[in-house]
Amino acid sequence: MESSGSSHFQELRSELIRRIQNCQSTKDLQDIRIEALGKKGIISGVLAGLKDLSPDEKRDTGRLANELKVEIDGLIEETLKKLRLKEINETLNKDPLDASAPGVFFGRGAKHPIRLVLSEAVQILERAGLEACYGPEVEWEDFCFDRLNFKKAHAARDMQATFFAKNTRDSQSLVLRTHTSPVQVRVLMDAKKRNLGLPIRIQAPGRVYRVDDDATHSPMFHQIEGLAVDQHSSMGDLRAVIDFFCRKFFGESTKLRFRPSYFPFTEPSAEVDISCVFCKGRGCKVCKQSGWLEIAGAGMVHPEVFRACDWNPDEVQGWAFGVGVERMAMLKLGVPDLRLFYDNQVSFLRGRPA
Amino acid sequence: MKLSFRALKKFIDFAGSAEECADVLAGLGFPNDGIHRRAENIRGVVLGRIVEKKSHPEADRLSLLQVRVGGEQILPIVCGASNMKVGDYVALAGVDAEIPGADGQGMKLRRAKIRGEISEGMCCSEIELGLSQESEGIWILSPDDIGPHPDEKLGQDIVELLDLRDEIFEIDVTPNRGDALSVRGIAREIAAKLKLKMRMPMTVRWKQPHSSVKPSIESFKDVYGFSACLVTDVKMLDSPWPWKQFLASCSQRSLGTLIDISNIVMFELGHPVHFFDADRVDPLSIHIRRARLGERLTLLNGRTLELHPEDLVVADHSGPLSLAGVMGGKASSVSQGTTRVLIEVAAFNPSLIRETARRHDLHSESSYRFERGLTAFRLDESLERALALLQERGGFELAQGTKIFDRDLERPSCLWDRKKVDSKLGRILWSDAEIFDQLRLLEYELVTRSNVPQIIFPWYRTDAQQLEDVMEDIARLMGYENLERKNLETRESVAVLDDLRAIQKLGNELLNDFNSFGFVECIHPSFSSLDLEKFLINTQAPSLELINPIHAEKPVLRRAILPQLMERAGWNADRGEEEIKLVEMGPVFSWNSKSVYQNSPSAEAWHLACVWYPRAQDAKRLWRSSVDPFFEFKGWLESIFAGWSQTAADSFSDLLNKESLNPKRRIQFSAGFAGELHPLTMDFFGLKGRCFVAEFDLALLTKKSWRYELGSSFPAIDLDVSFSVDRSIAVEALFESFKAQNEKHLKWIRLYDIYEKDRDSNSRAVTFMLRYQSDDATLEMTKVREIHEALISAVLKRFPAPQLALR
Repeated sequence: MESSGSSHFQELRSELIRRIQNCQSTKDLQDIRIEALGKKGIISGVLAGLKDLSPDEKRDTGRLANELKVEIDGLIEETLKKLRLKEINETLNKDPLDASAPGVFFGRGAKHPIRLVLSEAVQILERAGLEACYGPEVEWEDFCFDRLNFKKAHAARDMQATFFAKNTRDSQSLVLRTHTSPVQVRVLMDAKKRNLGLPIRIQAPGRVYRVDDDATHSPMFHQIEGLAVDQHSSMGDLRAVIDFFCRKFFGESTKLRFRPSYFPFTEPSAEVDISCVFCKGRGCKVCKQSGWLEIAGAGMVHPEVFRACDWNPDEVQGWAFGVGVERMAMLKLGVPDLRLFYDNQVSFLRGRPA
Repeated sequence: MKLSFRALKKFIDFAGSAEECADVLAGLGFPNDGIHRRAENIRGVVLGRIVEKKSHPEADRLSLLQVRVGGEQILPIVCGASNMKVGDYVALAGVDAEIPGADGQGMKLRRAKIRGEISEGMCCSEIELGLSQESEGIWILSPDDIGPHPDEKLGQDIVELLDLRDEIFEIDVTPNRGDALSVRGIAREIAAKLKLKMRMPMTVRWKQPHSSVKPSIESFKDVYGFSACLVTDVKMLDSPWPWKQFLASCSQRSLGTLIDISNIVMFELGHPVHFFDADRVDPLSIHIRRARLGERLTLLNGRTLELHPEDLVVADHSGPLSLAGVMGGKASSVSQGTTRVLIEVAAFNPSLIRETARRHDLHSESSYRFERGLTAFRLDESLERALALLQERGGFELAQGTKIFDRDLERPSCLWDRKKVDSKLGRILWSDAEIFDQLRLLEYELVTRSNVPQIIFPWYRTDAQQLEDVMEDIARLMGYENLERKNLETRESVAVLDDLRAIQKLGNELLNDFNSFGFVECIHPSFSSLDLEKFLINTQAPSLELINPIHAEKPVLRRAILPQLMERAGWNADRGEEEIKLVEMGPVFSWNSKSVYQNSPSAEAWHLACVWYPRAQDAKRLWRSSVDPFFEFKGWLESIFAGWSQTAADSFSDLLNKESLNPKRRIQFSAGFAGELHPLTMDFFGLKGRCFVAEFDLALLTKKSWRYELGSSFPAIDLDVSFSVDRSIAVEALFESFKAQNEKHLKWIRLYDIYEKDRDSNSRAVTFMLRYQSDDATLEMTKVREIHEALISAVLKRFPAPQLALR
């Protein structure tokens, strides 16, 4: 249908679109909206003029007018969004805040590196089924040595330079425990007393003390003891647990080496080496060119220890091991001097990205 | 222990290198701390002879020597030592020679002008050649050491001439293996492992029993065996060069032929041997006994000891002659002129020897071995080896004497149980017969009379008596690397100790919270001092005292954590550290409080302490909040401990001294101690400005059960109220009086503001905001106003004017 009405419509449409597109502010656009779509606006005017037309014209023009109304309304909304964004950004760009200035310094809280290493080790051993148990640091000499088959006045006692404490309660000799092994005694005796049965599978993390103070020794340090007791655990099981532990802690490629050694509370006894974490076994300064690093002492629980803790060594057997946490921390964190851990200097403890 | 590779090869034909030998030893349980290559870095050092000696015209301490180094070649040498004379043979390092030097770093000789005098080299000391740890002046070689016609050997390379090359292992021998502290002991292990044949050194028989020596033993509990042999008409030449060389490899100086012989036997075979001058003792009344009260003995080293009744001595009718197993006496010792020697070889109770050595702080090569256990069997071997050495170096007329030993002594044994061995070691591929063959190489013996073989431990072992000890030897011979490997097996432990587990858990949770407020965890050793603790801790609380503290200034175990932590706060500030917020969790020690362990010799509690020491530099940062830091600190503690209920305990409040805090700035916690430090406490720790501290007893905390629930969906109404409050009324009291009304629609109260016009005015303005909300309906404003007014009047009533008034 070609009529003067339709060409008038096209003009009306083009004019509105042009004005909307040229509009520079949201305020002007609001004015256009009222002018075009308001109750007394242009399109309403067109619709109001319908009553003078024939029914056919009425229908056609009405449809066109409604289409135009929808189109113009959409265009205004769309343009309004653009203008609003532009206006807000103009305001924001006048913002005096200099975002390049640094954020407020918040001294990061941190766990002590020894705690981090200890916790990681404890968690790995928990995955191997060893429950964490604890014992006192001021210990009876009896628990720390005698029941662990350190004979009185035997040279083996020189292996661990011992702090002695004055006992004001009774006549028993007190020491600061030199190793976490007295927890073995405690667990064994407790399990016997309460008739708990087997297996016993525990770990004993904690603080220990020896009269020693240099770059690789602190008078207080941390150990983790492992102990399993049942009817069949062997050196092979011991190796499996330590192998699992070392791979998870130092990395899957870590190799293990057992060497014969001596501890009064294990027989047979072994010293455990891992392949050097720095040179991967090729030989370097840290491992003294050997490719191996000493990491743990281990062995099968000595029959005398079972006897001293009220168990019959003909009925049970088991393994035990002990690792030094500081040594693992030094290897893992690359800290060369153990004393740094106990200076407790804030910037050292907070650490920093490597 | 130092072990000469050359000496080792006299006992066994080891074909490999020193490194290979070290690997075998490590696999047997004797790791080494390194291999020292003797004479490796000596090049161009030759035999020289001093033909002239003058003093240096410009320096009193220097000598000008002319040293002949073969043919007619004579070198001018400036020498700083004083122990040489004309005619002495010396080790001369000429120009371009290389020696290790006193520091072991290596040095090359150059022509030098020393105070105007030319020096074409130097006369070396044994230290400078790396042959010894000690030397007195330069090395003077005896003509005997050089061999016949020494002058014909001038100018010859000293390393070749004296056969100086050797490899010395520094091996670790565990304290159970007294038997392995010798060349033979180590050779035996290698021989068994590699199935090599052992060669034993020469021995000479003695005649016994013989009435010329009559030893007796007070108790077989102290002395297991004693052999005494009288050797007459001893003629002695000097120790030959190979002896000296062997002794040097064991870090032992040559001290005269007789003493050298006793040392050689000990280093070779492992058993100490003692020589008495038989003319200065009575061989017919030798008695080994405990010392008697009041007895004294002057030892070889010149020290005179007051003997203790538990010291063991070898005595004759005149009194103690030697401290058994530790050191000989001076009066009875052999000397240059000795012609009759009484040789003692004995086995003593190791504990006695150890206690004596400790008591008198007297540690010798002999006591070192006896303490670690030496066999009572085959004492004759050592004695006969000594006789062979005596014969080699001069000879003697007769060797006769008597040995006595405990006839009840038996070698320990155990029954073979293959099932148990396999169960503990893992499956072994060797048959029983193969295992037994291997063990025999270590001198095990087997008795197979009954069905179950009986295993008799080697005669030289003192530490082994159970099947487990056999297992270790089997594993050592097989190689630990060949033990069966299993897969990881995990099962639930039925037995666990509950001690401290809960506290560890809650402590770790609290540490996380403190970390999130920027606190850094410290860990301190437990050592402290009463002085350090005096400000913070009530003096009545008894400490655990150490008998042997490592640092004299820290002789007790800490009773609380704060003193150390505050000391460290100041230390960190001195180092310019920023944001000093420290937290520590750990044990504290006392006698009179409750221990966290059920079965505990002392009272160990676990505390958590924190220190915040804000520094001026921290406050100068951008946008620092303007709130008083006291309230920041209090706010952290309140939010951290909101989830914990606290039990009050007198022991804890008795421990920490409240007077160390600022009297007006304390924070109430029933399980803890918190607040701002008193200026005097600050002074004591050298702290400046302000410092905030807290310490908690972890056993007094219990985690509240935590609820998760949806808040009310009805709108809340917030209303303010502002009071004019007298200074005597604490803000906390106002909170309490609001809460006391138990108004169910009052959701919470917040402090909005405290305004003080000036410090001197009696009142201040305190503004609260109160939130009203219902869980099941929308509250009408009019109704809320009514409730609000009622609450305010109740509070006003509680504090009548002029204490409190509406503003």
